[in-house]
Amino acid sequence: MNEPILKDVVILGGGPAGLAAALALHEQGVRDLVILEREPEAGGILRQCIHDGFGLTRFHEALTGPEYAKRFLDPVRAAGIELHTGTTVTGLTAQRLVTAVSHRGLTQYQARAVILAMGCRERAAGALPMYGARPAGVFTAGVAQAYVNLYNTMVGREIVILGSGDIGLIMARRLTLEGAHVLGVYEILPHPSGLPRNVTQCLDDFHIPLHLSHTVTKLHGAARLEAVTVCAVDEQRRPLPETAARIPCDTLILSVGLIPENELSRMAGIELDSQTGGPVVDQFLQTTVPGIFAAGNVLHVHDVADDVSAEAEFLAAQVARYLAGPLPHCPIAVTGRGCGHVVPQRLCRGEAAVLSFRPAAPRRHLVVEAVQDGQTLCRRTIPYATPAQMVHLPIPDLADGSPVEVCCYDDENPAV
Amino acid sequence: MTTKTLLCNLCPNCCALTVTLEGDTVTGCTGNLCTQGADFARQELTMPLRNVTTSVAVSGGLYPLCSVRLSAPIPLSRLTEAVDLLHGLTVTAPVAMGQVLLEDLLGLGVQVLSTRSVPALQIRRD
Repeated sequence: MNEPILKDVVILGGGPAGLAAALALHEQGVRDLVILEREPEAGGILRQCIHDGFGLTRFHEALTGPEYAKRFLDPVRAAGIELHTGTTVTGLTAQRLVTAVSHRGLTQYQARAVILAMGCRERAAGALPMYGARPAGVFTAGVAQAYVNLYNTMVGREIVILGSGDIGLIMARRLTLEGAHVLGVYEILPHPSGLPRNVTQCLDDFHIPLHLSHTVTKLHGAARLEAVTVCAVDEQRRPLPETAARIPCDTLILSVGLIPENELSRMAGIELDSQTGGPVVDQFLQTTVPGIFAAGNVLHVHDVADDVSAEAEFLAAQVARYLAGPLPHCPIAVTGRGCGHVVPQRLCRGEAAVLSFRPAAPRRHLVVEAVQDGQTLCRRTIPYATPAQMVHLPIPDLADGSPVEVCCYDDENPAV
Repeated sequence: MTTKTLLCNLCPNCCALTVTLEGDTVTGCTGNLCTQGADFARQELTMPLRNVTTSVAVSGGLYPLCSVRLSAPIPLSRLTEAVDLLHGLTVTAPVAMGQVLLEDLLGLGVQVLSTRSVPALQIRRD
């Protein structure tokens, strides 16, 4: 095998995070970089997201996924940034040796810095407690989206959707427009998982019922799905057998969560956060392996692509800084109370940072605070917050080295 | 005077709006983080508008479909009609992103725009 190719930065993934990071690095004068993308075209999941709503924060217009991707891909091409599609990274070491496979064969890169921008994938049927056979006709929402939007293949006619994640809600509308009959969306939680705007414009507009605190417990059918059993669940999310109902359908779409894709991170010995599913990072988005950074959905699942791009640009600035010299040590641990997880997990002294997290449950009057040694560092109130909406809390530079706790609670009902 | 609650769907903030009405006229709106919220409420309570994103068939293209959106939102009540029309439409490759595929959809004064590029299928004759 040939000697590894030396690069300042190797970016793993050419989706919204990878493209934004590459552009920002290029703008900051880092020119010796390469993007490695597994799919035949760059753009990541944006390619199949033909609905609009992308770019509202960044460009102040409602773009579709492919249009949003083009806003990054065109300048990446114009800048002459090296981009290899159809290239799968199969190896990553703690010494930042990247092994990639493509039609050209095996290529190795020795990088000074690696950016993890692999995104996430969908939780599939195998991860769910459903009895019965395993007939055809069970798809994750993203797979159904690829079939319908990219390959012109309809997935079914009588459709049940399990889970109310954004892609599931988008697909409820998409499949309805394509002539299917969406019987209903069943969500195990007492509140929708997707953004409220998607509940109104994807379900309410089309009179598609949303059944909260319900789940699918059994699949029926041999070769093809014929029906599902749905059940109401109690507060501990346990199905109540007396509520079981059989719903005839030919297709079940799953929108039950996204999992950051971190096989390569594991291979490099990067510590992962069991709550986010992504790497543990410091405030510079550097993982526990020096010189390996992460941004976008591989780090933690975001609400919208605009946030992914912004995070990747912040990361690019840190990587540029890292290439010029080591970043400050980040020994201060961050924990959360009343919120699922906090990113970053570690902070340094003397430099401001932004913490990202989600409230554990919907709050009518959310108060978020960062507390250190019993002292409130900063405080923000949000009139109406749901777990579908990530909260960002800027915190001032820290003088003290003791742990920081982020607290989320409802001002009207502090006990919750 | 009556009050209504609705959710603004213009951006991911999803502001929970409380609207006060005198008959059919909106007299007040609270809960909106930006000025568009009140306009949205007024529009939503009289004639809700939505954009439409779907795909149209492509003949002679590298891909079978071309995704589309409208240049501006249309009344929600005309949405099904618009989608039915778009499903009957076939365009010829090549298609450029942003290309106008239909000038005036249903006489509503909005254009149908391509949101992806579809190169023509090259047939090798060697």
